[in-house]
Amino acid sequence: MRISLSHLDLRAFAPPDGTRGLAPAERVLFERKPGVAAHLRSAMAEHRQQMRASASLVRQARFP
Amino acid sequence: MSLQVTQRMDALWSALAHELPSVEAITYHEPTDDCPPSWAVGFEGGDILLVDALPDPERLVFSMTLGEVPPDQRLLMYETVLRVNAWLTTQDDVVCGIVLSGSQIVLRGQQRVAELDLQALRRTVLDIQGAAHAWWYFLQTRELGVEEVVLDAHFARA
Repeated sequence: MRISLSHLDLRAFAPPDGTRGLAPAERVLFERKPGVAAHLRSAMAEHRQQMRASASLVRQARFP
Repeated sequence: MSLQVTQRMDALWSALAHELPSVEAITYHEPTDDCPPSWAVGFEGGDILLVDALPDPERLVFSMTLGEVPPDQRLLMYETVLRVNAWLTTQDDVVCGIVLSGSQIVLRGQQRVAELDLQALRRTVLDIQGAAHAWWYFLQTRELGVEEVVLDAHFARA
């Protein structure tokens, strides 16, 4: 079965100006060297994962 | 953090990026249920500075990962971190310390948003980069005698 998307307005799915293809929750404020912003995105994802892990450890900690 | 403060920080970061040629990119990351609003700054040479905006009082917390700690070197790294932190406390202008987060070594500092302007932000960012470079220098020279090692936290501030 073939599905035609020609009736859809795909502009609604395009990233807004400034995101340059990143997820909608992120914005590129400045980019002098192409590709670095994408690298920053993965660094932030890892950083937030570490923060969640640390918060979880603190919640699990039991003090006498 | 209010929308006004976020917009002010966006403007400060953009101004800093145009002032410092070593900045290659800056991104803003919206808050989630469990994470605050954040910025990431990428520098020439691969340094990455991650900045979280935390409340009460409103402040920026700066983090720069310095590397992974191999399991067999943990004790040595703990000792080195203590020595570098002790040294950092003797530096008037440096607003940071080194922490161990999981298997990573992270340089961390903080600054209140209320008193922040472009000059203060520039100074803090360069101080943290300078402290990161001091850490790497410390690792390279830790076998030398104390009198042979000179640390400089003020990296390219001029």
